[in-house]
Amino acid sequence: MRVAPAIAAMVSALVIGAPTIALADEPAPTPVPGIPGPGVNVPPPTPAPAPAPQPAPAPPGDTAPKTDPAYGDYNNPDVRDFPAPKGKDVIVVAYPERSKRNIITLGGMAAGGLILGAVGLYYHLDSRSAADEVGAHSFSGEPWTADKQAAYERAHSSSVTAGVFYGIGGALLIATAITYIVTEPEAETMVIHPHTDPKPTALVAPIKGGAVVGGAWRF
Amino acid sequence: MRALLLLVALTACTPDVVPGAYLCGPEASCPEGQVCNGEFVEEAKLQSETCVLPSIARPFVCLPKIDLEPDDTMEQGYFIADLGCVSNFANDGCMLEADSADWVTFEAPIGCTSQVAVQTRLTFPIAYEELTIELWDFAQNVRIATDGECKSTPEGFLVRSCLDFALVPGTKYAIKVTPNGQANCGGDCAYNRYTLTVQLGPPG
Repeated sequence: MRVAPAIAAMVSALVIGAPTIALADEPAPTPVPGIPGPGVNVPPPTPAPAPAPQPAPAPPGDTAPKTDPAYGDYNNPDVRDFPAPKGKDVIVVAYPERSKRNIITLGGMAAGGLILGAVGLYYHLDSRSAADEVGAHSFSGEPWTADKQAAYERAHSSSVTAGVFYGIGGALLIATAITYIVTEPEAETMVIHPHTDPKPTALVAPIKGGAVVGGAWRF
Repeated sequence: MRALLLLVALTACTPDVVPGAYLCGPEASCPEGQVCNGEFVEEAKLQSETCVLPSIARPFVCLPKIDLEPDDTMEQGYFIADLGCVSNFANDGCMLEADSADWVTFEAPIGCTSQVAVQTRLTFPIAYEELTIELWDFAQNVRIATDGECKSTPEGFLVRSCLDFALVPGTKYAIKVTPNGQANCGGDCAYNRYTLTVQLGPPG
């Protein structure tokens, strides 16, 4: 993609610069005897034009004005004062990465929530096991013993413990999600103002014996 | 989030014990929310010594197979007559709250071809006060043996105590069934029902 401006510049140089310079500096072509040129009446050869008079050197202490030879004797010597052609603005939205501290905090909270949830699951399963141990839906023929009472109480206490751990772990996970949302870095928006019209520009330049047609564009 | 709520919902895994599923444990213990039913009610299909809802539970009621009261002293004890060299006697008795002891007496048979021993078995529910048996020499008013653990155990909700003793022919003996003060709910279940069996036969 970056080659495009370079190619465009090369094309510009070839199409615009070269012919212009060539037309200004080249001497007139010499006709070949017996072979007429493109015209019917070939004029006799004329002497080469005299060289252009050199400008007088500036006196010492006087600053020479900055003049771009490509613009001749344009009044404003600074070419940067030309109003730049503008295209449509390009908006780039960047999402910065989270800080390491933020990632560690979120990871710690999430891990803590998961660990507490796992502990809650352990007590949950223990509670289920104890509940299955003493649960009965029909006549079992067994007496209610101290062991069964202990299992009954274990089922209840483990159930409560599991609920507590689930609650804390769940709250921690929810807090992690909220923190994740709240601490998300703000997106940075950058607006690029193009200085060139992205539309292709057609170039036509006369050269000796015809014209050069080209174009320049960016993409 | 939904999975978390489901897990929390499943956490409420309190044991599901339907009424009537368990027999009463020691000291009339039952699962939470249930109490020990003390009476068999056939029409209500209500078994005694089962854990039921308090609303349908009945208080302890004991109806002996043979009413031997009064039998609270050795002299008042029911005499088991006509015991042979190999014979058996059984009775479903009641140890009510006011009872201190139930007595039965018997005389060792004479003329048996081999030595005769008595095998006494006492079975009672685990739910109420524990009972013990003792063997007494009636004439001398002396306790000569006490029960111990049996080699074989009965069903889980019953307790059995055993007393084996070689008899002297022609001697009168007395068997005492008495509460030992253990597992009586602090006095609230100081009663029980029991089955006493007395079997004579060769030792071993």
